[in-house]
This record gives sequence, C-alpha cells and structure tokens, in this order.
Amino acid sequence: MPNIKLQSSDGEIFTVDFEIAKSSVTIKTMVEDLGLEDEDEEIVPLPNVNSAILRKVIQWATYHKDDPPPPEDDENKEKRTDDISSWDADFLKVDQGTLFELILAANYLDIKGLLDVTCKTVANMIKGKSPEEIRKTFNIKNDFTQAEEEQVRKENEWCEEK
Amino acid sequence: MQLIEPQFQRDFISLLPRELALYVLTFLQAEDLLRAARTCRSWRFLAEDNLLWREKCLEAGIDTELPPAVNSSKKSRHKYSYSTSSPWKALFMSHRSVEMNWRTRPIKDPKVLKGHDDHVITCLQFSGSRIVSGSDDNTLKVWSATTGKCLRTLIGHTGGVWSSQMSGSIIVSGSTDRTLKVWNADTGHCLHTLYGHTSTVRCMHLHGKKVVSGSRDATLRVWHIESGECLHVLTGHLAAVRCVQYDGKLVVSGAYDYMVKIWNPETEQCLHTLSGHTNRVYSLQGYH
Repeated sequence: MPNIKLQSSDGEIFTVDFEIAKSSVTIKTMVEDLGLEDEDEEIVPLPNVNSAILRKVIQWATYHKDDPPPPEDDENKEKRTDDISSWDADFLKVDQGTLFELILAANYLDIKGLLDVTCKTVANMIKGKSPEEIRKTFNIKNDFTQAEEEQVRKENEWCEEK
Repeated sequence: MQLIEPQFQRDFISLLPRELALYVLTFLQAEDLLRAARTCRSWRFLAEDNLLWREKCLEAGIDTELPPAVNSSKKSRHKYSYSTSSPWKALFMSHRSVEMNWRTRPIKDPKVLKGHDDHVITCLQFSGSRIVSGSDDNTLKVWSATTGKCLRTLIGHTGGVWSSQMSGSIIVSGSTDRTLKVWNADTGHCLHTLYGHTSTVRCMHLHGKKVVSGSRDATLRVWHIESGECLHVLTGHLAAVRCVQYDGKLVVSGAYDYMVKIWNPETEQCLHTLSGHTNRVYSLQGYH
C-alpha cells in the first residue's frame, strides 16, 4: 500500500505516500485497525482538518519523513524552545489563525514533532514579554480589576538578581 | 490595519483546549509563567496549574518530595509563603527567594546574645526556635532564636557546664560537678540529677529517651532520661572520654588514650578498638 487517500473536512482528497501519512499516529492506528493496508480505493476521512491545514500538515510530514522518532520527554530536563530548525521556522511563518489550526491538527492527528514545534513557536511569542506586550501580541483584554491586578502582580513577583 | 490586525490574532492560551494550552506553557520558564499569569484571568488560572509547577520544580532540581501543606498552617507567620492555589508553585517560589537571599541580599547584623558575663561558653545546642548555651559559670541559658532574648537560666550545677544536648523541650547537661542534669526547657525545672560518674562529664549524645555520657573518669554511662536510671556503664578507655556518638544501637567513643572504641551498650562490651591516632581524640561524627 504505497499510497493512501485522505479526505479533509471540506471534501478535498489528498493522495499521500503511506510512509508519510504514518507519521500521524491517528492515521496509522486507523489504517491498521480497519485493515486498510491492502486497500487502494479506501478513503480516510479527517473531519477535524480542513484542506488548507491538511495541505500544510502533509507538506511538513513530507519534509520530515526521514526524521528519527522524537525522543521521549524527560520531565527533569528544562524544555528548550531555541532548537527549531530554520526550515520549520520558515514553515511556521504564518498568521496566528493558521498556527492555531496547525496545533489542533497536530494534536488530533497525533504528530508529536509537529505539535512540539508549533507549541514552541507560541511559547517563543510569549517569552521575554511583559504582560502588556503579551496582551498586545495575542489581542487579550485585561479583565483584572485594579485590586486584582495589584494582587496578581504581588503574587507573581520574580525576585531579580541585583 | 489596526482594524484588521486583531482578526488574525488568536489568544492561544484561552482558546486552545486546556491540555494543549498547558502544553504550550510547559515550554516557558518560571519567570515567563509569572508574567503570563498577569495578563488576564484565564491565563492566570492556567499558569497556576499545579502539575505545571511540579515540572518546573523538577527541572530546577527542587526536591521531588512535596512537603504536605506547604503554605497552609504557617501562612501568616512565614514571610515567603505565597498565596497560590498550587503547592508546587509555592515551593518553587520559596526556593527561589531563599536562593536569591543567599546570592544578593545583604546579611543582617548578627544578634548578640549577652549572658554568662565573663565566663566561657562551653557548649551550644538548638532545637526549633530555641538555643541553649552552657557555660563554666555553672549555668545554662535558654534563648529565643527569633527575638534573641534569654528566656530562662538553668541553675543547679555546682561546677562548670561542659556538655549539653537538646531535643524538643528536653535539655541534658553535663558538668564538672560529676553529674548530668535533665531539664525541662519550657519551665526551667531540673527533672533529674544523674549521679555515677566520678569526674567531669565532658561529652554526651542523646538518642530518643537515652543519653550516653563520656567522662574524665574514663568511662561512659548510658542513662534513661525519663526514669533517671543509669542503665549501663562502659569501661575500657584508659583516659578521659572526650567525644561520643550514639545511634540507638551502637556507641562510638573517642578518648585521651588516643583510642576510638565501638561498644554494644546493651551487653556493655567493647566490640572494636580503633587505634592509630597518635594523640588525643577530640571529635567524632557518626553516620549510617
């Protein structure tokens, strides 16, 4: 079974090399559980992913098809966000809406590599910013009362090295 | 542009499913999480997540054992308890404060505990917020470690005090008057006077309800501090016993005969004699 057909939520059909599609644990499991390995005409519906996003996901998976499997998370190790490859960084130069949809898709399709790199990208948009800068970045309304804001500021004071 | 731009923005943390928002936050360091908590209510709620802070603690190498109720009971008294719903966050923040205090805060002037006049202070112990000092002025003084005030003076020995132990409210002292005394630190009352040694009680080690004393009479004695009974006498050293350690099972002693001896106090037998020092043995430390 060299190819598999994936159908996006808006009905578009993508023909993808099965080896590439398998980077999605969800698709891999679905194919194995349904015994679709020998079918050529079967179409796998992906009702949670639209065609624009699915196209991006396939593009990502194709580029990364030969990657080694991502290492297990080690909770004792600080998570890095500065290890995004330049190809991924370029790939993720998209508007926030697309990035948002990519995270949901990576989660739904269970593609750890893509989920990590998209979440890291969002984390990098937060890092080093003041609360006001974060609000501006994501169009967040400050819904604290004045008293709450003062309380929250106190609670979250970071004692700096002087 | 100002009208259109917000259309392309997404509040990831508020809009993503909770587990995904938290996953994004796990990539942040503590200081970013603290700033993130200040943006709005929903970010604050997520940035307080207990498991998230547990991960930050593990990353920072903070002990994986969470002390029960980190900030509940001592809240009002403790300077560095944080009002947070996450015990792990509270733990992280207090570790950070302590670390910063060590690194950058100026050291406060030391508190001077004045007492014992011109006499030598021979021994010092502390337990909880109390300090006990022994002196060759024949007394011991109990001090408050928080205020620096002398709470009471323990009077009774007829010779200089040269050794002491403290555990909770119990103080044991040894003196050149050849006795040990057991005191109640709260009341200042002498509960027992332990007679038996024929010379100065120079060292002791308390374990549970038993104390082992070493004396210039070259013997060690094991006492029960509640009954005041002498349970065992360990003889074998050829000169004054200067230091002793007791772990509830074995006694280790060092003496002016250059020897270290290991004893089974129950059978009063010397199990081993460690010879090799070429002068008096002044100190010992047990570890197991």
